[in-house]
Amino acid sequence: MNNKSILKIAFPSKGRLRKDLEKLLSSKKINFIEESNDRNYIAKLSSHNDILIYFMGAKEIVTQLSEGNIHLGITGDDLVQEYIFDYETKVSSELILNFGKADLVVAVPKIWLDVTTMADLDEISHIKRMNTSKRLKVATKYTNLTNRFFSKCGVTDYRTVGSSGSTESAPFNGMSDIIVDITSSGETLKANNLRILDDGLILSSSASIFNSKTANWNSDLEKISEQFLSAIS
Amino acid sequence: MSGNQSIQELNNKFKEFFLLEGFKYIEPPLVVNSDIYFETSGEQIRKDMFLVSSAHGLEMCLRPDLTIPTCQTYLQNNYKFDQAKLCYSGPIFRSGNIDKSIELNQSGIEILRANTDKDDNYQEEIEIINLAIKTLNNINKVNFDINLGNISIFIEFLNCLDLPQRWKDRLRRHFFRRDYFESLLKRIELGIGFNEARKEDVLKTHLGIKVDISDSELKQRLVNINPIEFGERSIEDIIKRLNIKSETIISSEKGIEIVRMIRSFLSIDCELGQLANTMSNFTNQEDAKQFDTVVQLASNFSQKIKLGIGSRDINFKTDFGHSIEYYDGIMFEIEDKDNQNNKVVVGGRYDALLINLGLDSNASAIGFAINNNNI
Repeated sequence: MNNKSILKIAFPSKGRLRKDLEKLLSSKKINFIEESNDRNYIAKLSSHNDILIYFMGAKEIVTQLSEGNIHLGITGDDLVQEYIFDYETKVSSELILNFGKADLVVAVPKIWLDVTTMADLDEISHIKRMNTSKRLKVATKYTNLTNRFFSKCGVTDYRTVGSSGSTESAPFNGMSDIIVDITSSGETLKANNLRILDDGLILSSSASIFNSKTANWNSDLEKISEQFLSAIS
Repeated sequence: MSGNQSIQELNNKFKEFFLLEGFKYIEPPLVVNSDIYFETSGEQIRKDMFLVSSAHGLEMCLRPDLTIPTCQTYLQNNYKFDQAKLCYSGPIFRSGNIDKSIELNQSGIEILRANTDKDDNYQEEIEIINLAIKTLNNINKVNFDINLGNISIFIEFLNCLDLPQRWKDRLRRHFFRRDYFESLLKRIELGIGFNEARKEDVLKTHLGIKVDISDSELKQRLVNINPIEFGERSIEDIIKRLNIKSETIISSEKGIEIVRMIRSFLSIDCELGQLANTMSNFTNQEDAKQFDTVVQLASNFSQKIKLGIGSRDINFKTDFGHSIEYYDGIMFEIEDKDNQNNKVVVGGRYDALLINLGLDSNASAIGFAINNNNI
């Protein structure tokens, strides 16, 4: 079989996403056949001889989808929309999976009783800028999605502050005023005295199988892709 | 090439013309601190800009316009030329539309003055519109439309409405973001304000108390909460704003009526010479006295500008505006009727921008830029 007939799919290499995916494949009686690779970064599927699986970090999958180095990739909507500029021209969602669900939300300190909507945020950020010449600081790992959403909601007097660790603590250690973060149950936010704004849902994300529009496709690969998608849906 | 003249030839031609008109030529930096663009247009402008980081970690950008770098040059010279008439020609960089060139080219002028207020005679407005016309005539462009707006008239109109001040401020602030402005109008139609039920819900949910609580009692409750939980806001700020939201309630019925008036006002579209009459007709349909000051302002504005510009037709629209939000008075653009109505000139007044950039006195700032790529 030549390389042009091998469908390349990226799977998440670790964490909850990988476990949930393995559970799904196992329920469809599909197993991995590990390739002779010490670190198990490449595998095949018991059900499809013409598919090569690459294990990567969820963010790396997004990059490889965007660059067309893989045909399909399993990752989160949030990462695709955050990291691929003009993502609809580069990838398309082929199958929404029933795991990896999380919401990207705007959360403020719970005790800000007067702030319940994005319009309130617009107003208090403007007041802050007028009174102190400083803008509201928003801690987030999702700068692009935050900017798009805040712009849509008319909030402009803010700056994003990059966050790589526990974003939910940022308002209370002086790093930011509010946060934009991913949450699945809202419990972590609550435990950290944060409250989601009434209209502060930016995105409801879940793991999906994405198709790379920039990868090299041919009719054989399209057929293999269809077979794979129908096998796991 | 642009028509029969290269961009470089246009640059030189405009430069020579502006020098003869008494302007001082400056060459603002190509790479500027990006902060001011985020401050004026929000983070969303990031996608339209080319950003780079300096060796010290400072975020810089290739200039997306020439007005701000010109103002910064003026301020960095410690107002050496304190009534500066500056001109420039050169490239600007915008990445918004990947199908178009990222490098555009503009020539323009700015008239900047510190320690002064704009005058009600609109002399500078008349000067720059006439200069824009003369500049186009100088390159044999005579067939064009002038479109004009003045946000001051809209602000005066807002001041006359029976709306909470914070909503007037909000409508003013978002006048330039038309989609969001429209969503604000829809919210007003639904009724605004934090009614008792909503306030009770918030206080009950977060503090376990009912709404009939005095400010001092509420403050006492909040004082007992760990200050770290407030972030950078004070208890007084939160209580004050909670009360303002609860006190200024506009019912849906009243909201619908207010929005009808706003929409009606923003649909005014006439030749500038007809503005006084058109505005009077509008106010006669509404409560005429309520809008006396708007009519006065509009009449004064249209008479002075018409007198200064002469017989040429000028299209006036109350909702005319630009996507760049630093204009805070007159705004105008000139469209080339011989070339698909391309915008060839865009300009206006932007006094507050100079103050935002660091000027510590009253200011007058006005100017225009020619889009050389459209010529």
